[in-house]
Amino acid sequence: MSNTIAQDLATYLAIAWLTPLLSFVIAIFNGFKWGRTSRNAAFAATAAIATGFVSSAIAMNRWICEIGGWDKLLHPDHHEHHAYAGVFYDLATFGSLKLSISYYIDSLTLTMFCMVTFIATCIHIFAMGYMSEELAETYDDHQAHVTRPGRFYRFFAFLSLFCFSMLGLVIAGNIFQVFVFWELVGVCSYLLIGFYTERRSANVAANKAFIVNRVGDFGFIIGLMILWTYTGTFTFSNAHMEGAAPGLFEIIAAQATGASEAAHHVAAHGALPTVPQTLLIIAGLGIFAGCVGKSAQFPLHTWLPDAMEGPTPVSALVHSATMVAAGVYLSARFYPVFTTEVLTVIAYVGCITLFVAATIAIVATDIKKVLAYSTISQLGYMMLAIGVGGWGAGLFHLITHAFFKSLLFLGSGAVIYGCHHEQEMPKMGGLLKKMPVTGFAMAVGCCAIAGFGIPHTNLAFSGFFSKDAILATALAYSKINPSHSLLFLAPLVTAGITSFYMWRLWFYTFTGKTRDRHVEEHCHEVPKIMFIPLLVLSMLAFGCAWGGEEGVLYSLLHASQPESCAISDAGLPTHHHIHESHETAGVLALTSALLGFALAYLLYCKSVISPAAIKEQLKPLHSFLVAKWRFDELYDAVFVWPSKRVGGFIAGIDRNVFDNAIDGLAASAVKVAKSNRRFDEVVVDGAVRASGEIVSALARTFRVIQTGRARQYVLFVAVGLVLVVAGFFGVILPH
Amino acid sequence: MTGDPLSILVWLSAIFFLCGFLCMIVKRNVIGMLIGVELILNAANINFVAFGQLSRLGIDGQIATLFVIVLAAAEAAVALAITLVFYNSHSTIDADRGESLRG
Repeated sequence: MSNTIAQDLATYLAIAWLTPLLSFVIAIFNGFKWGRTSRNAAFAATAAIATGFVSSAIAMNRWICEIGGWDKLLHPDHHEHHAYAGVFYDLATFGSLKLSISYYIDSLTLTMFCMVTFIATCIHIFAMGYMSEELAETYDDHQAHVTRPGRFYRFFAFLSLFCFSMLGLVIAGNIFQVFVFWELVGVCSYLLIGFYTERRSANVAANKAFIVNRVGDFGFIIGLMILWTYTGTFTFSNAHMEGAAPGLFEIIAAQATGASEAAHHVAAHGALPTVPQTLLIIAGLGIFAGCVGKSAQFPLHTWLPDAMEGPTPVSALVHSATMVAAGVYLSARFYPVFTTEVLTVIAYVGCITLFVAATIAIVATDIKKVLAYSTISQLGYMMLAIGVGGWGAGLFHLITHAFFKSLLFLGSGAVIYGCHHEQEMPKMGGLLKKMPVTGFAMAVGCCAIAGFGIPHTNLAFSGFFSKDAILATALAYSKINPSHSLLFLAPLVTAGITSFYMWRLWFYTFTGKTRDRHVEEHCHEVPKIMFIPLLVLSMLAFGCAWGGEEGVLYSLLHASQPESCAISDAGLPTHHHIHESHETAGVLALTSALLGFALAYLLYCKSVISPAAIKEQLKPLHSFLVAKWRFDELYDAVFVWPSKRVGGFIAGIDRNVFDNAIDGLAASAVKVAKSNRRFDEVVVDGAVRASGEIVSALARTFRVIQTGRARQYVLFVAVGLVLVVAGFFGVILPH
Repeated sequence: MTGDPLSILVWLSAIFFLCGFLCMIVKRNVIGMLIGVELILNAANINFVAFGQLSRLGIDGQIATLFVIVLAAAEAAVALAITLVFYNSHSTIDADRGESLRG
């Protein structure tokens, strides 16, 4: 039976995975034929991703039936993995290196599939409205001051390609395939950030995103090389299937648990390879470096805010809900390979990121930039959770965040669309009257991200449950390791900051008076095709985590939780510890969030104290935050400027040394050629001309006898004959 | 000069040849020159027939002669065609007027 369910799941997910690719191919080849004003590409892309969602949901249902229904899911008897691994297609074998398109399906894969396809469907529908201005033969880009043909079909083709890449990343059964799709989502991100290619800022942002990700991917490749060198496999796991070769997880687990387990494996498969401890740490850090790049964690977080140059649906799908979460997903997937040292690094990176990004978000005035920094900050929460052993909590937050952040981004998209591409919050205000649906949806999103809720009841926004889970884990961790108590305090404070900046955004945008006359006159509610996805997402942003840690979503994720990280669990809190901390952490987080909300309400709605006065008081701090902690300047000074200098120096060497040498070579070649030419002209040409002259002189001599008179020729023949005969008989014969 | 029939035939042939040759170089009329050519060919024919009797079968020369006659007919046809074209372009059949091939 187990075999058929694996095949079933693989088939359903493969359908969900490959339909967007089909729609991409169709759109890219037919787009031009359909014309600039055709919506066909959008229909194809939306139909494809909706099919994907249906197919994923069927797969999810099949999986739940297999484990014994919903009751079994919510109250599992014992911790048992229902994971399935297999190979779709063998790409190539190079010696012992086997590359294949394979799958590894457990409840995490299924949840990610459902989440990605569902959110993508909503965003596709939203984008049909948002991008409708591109449905024109000529589109005026006011920012780049150019008129160009609309690019509606191209946008949807890219979105489809992105969905395909993202789903391929999630379904991947080996780390090499993950890497391939990792790069593919990077390319899609590049294409979509730079969608408005005429805008210089968009090009720069696209390049920045791509290059910063390369830094992380370099670490990723190092990790891959180490793992492959020592284990000889890229496969995640054999999912306990009989006869399958052990994957990375089994190898590392056997190494961690020591001889007894290993002996069992030796009997089954022969000796398992082991990875030296130091290199295992480096490999973990390398893989994590890739995740840092993709998930925009400190110190590679600078690309994500710039990535907001892309169209807003892209920001919602790629740069908040799915692609940037891929880093967290991979960290979670690779949890069994990470050692405790690596986990500590992950926790601290997450901790620094969530605090730094949140502080920048306080002063950002571009509505999308606020959301971008909030995304970075929330990703930091997820990383922190994974780092302190809260595997389920981190992924729980990943899913809830995906829903409320895509909601917030779509809401901001609706605001931008309604205000005719105005993104600066200081120009907005009082939009609630004009855009009630959007305002309501955004309020739901803000409640969710701030984590509002009533403890001990189910009446809470999704963010409450997931943030509570993270903080509880962090608190338990800091209780066990008091030296790491910063890992609890920073997220606690940041929970307040999060609530503050999100409500600041909401009050700034939707309450008070409109500060810009132009915006006031033209602002309008968005069409139905755009606010329906908003309403659907706001329902999910509110209720997707219903039941908290006893609810469906958490149970689904928990079913895939690996038993342990690599080597040892020392210092990580157990389930029991976390449960004890829940009470305290929940109350503290809620207090913090409410304080943030109150502060935002007083400052931006009631204007008890003028924010401008505070800004004046704390001018150095404010400008430091506006400059984004001066990370861009720092990187400019540390990396960009030196590489430019080194480049300039090498260019100087090129110009002065190599160019001169090559010029000298060329000059001597010219000289040799000149002397050769003289030889040619005098000797060779002379000989040729002289022989020509001789032939020509002979010809001049003999042309005299060519009289053209036939009778004369006859006479010549006769005389010649007589002479020949006479010569023969008179001269030759006598001898 | 003897009464040997072979030598008579050879003399006859020589006279024919000389007549044909003279006809060729003296006549300016192309037709006349062609008649000279025929005479030369027939001189050769007489020689073939004369010496043919000395061969083993005695008919070799006569067969060669037949070939030459056929050849002469073909040659006359070609030559007359050339003459006709020459006449068309020069309005004469005076061989000395055709000097365009002079070197």
